[in-house]
Amino acid sequence: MKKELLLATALATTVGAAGVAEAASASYSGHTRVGVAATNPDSSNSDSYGGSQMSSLSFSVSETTDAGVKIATGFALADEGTDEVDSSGLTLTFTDGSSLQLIEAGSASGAHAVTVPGGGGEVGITNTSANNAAGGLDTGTGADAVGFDYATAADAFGIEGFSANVSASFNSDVTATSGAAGTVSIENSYAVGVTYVTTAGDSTVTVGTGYNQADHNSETATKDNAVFHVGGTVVTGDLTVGAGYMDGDWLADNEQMSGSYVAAGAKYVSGDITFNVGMTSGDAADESIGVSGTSVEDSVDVLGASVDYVIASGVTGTVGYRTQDVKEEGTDSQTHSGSSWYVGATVSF
Amino acid sequence: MNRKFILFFLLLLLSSFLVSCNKTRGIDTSKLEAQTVGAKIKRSGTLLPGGTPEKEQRALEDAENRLRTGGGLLGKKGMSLGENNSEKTTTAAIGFPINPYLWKGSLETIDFMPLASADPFAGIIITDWYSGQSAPNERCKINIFIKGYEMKTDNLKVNSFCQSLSNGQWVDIRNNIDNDAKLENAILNKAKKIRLSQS
Repeated sequence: MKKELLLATALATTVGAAGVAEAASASYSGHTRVGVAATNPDSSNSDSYGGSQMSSLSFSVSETTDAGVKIATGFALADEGTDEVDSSGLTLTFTDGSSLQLIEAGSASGAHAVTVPGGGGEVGITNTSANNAAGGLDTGTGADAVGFDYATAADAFGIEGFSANVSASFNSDVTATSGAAGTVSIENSYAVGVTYVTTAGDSTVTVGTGYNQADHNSETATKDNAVFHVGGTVVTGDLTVGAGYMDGDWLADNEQMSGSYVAAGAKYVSGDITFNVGMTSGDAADESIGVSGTSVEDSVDVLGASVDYVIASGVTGTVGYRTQDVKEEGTDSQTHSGSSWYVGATVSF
Repeated sequence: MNRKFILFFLLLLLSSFLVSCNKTRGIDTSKLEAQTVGAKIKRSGTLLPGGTPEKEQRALEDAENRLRTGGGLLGKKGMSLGENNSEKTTTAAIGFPINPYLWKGSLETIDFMPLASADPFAGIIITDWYSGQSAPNERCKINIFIKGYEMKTDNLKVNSFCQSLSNGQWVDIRNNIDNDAKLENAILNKAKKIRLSQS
C-alpha cells in the first residue's frame, strides 16, 4: 500500500518501476527567404533581376526516456532550388550532453567548420556547374546515409571549451564503376572534427578543424576524398572576425578534384543592425576520373558585403552586394563573373 | 595553395589587430559560445536537419537568423504539437525553473508524511520525522530536490534519513540508497500519471 511506503527501516515497498517513457513531443519550424536578386555580368549579357524564394519546413518528434536519453527524428520539406524531402535520421541525446546520430548522420568534419562572416543574401549571379572550384570549408565532406556521428558533450575529456565529433559511414556494396565517365558514389567514409573555444582577454576565440576521408566505387579514380579544414574566429564585444582554410582532394559526379578554399570576413553588430563583409577564394584542378595532372584550375573569387536589420523575432531584412570573378580552366568566364545585389527578408518560424 | 596559406595567416594577423582595436561592450566571455556550424545549429534550436554540406548550409542560414533575432515567429524551437506548451505555461515563473509534474508528484507521493518545509521556487521538499504503524520504533524523514525543468530522472533527487529507537535514544541507521531510488521511481511514475491525465 502506497501510504506504507516507509515500512520498518526501509522506504522500500516496491511501488512500481518507472518503465514507461514520458509522452512524446512533436514540433515544427522552418524558414522562408524571399526577395529580389539582380545580376550585372561582366559579359555583354544584359543586366537582369528576378524574384527569389527559398523555403524549408521541418517536423521533429522526440521522446525522453526515464533514463534521460532523448530520442529524436523527423524530416524536412525544402523548396530551395530543387524540391527535396530530407530525412533527419535518428538522434540519441544522452544525459551527459553527448549525442549519437544514426542514419543520415553526415560528416563529423563539417560541423566543426568555423562560420566565417561574409556578405549575406541570395546569390544573384550564378556559377556554372562545370566549375568545380572548392565552394566552402566543408567541401568534400560527403558521407553515405548508412553511418553514425558521435558528438561529445561540451568540455569533453575534462578540457573546458573542447568538443569533438567522430563519424563513419559504410556502404561497401555499391556497384563499381569504371572509366572516365562513370558517376561516382561514396562507399565508406571516416571523419573527425574538433572545436576548442576559449577566452583571450575580453575576446572569445574559437578554433575548429576537421578531416574527412572517403573512398568511392570507381575502379578508375586515382584519388579519394581526403580533405581537411581549419579556421578561427574571434568575438570581442559586437565585433566578430574570422578566417578559414580548406585543402584536399575530392570526387564529385564524374570528376576528381584537387583544390583549396580560403574565407575571411568580419561582422559588426550595432543594435538591430548587423554589418557583414567578407571574401572567399576557391579553386580546384578538376580532371576526368582517372586522369591526373592534366588540368589547369577553375576558380571563384567573391567579395561581398551586406547589412541585416532585425525587424522582429525571426524576421530579418537583408541588403547585400557582391562581386564575383570566375575562371574556367584558367580562362576568365565573363558570363559568370560580375556583380549582383539582393534585397529581401528571411522569416524563421 | 601556398598563396592561399599565406593569405590565410595574414588574415588571422589582421583579425587579431582588428580585435585589439575594439573595446569590450559587456560581453560575457564565460559563455564560451563556439562559432562553428554545429555549435550554432545546436544553440539556435532550428529543426532543419544536416547530413550533407548543402543541408547544413540551409540549417546554418536558419540558425543564424534565429540567433540574430532571438528566435522564430513561433518561439525559439518552433511550434510544439502536443503538451509541451502547457508544461511551459505551468512552470514557476519566479525562482528556479522546476518541473511542475515532478513537484506535484513528489507532494502526492509523500502526502502521508508531515512536511517541515516546501519551497516551490527552489524545488525543495523536506518532511518531518515519520514513523509507520508497523514499526513504531523506527522513523524516517525525506529531503526531495527537484533540480530542473525537464521531467527526467536526473532532475529528481531523494535523500532519506532513518533512525531506530535504542534505549530511549534515536540512533541513525545507515542510509539505503536503493530505497531512495525506489522512492524516486515512485515520484516519477506519479508525475507521469499527472502529466498524462492533463494531456
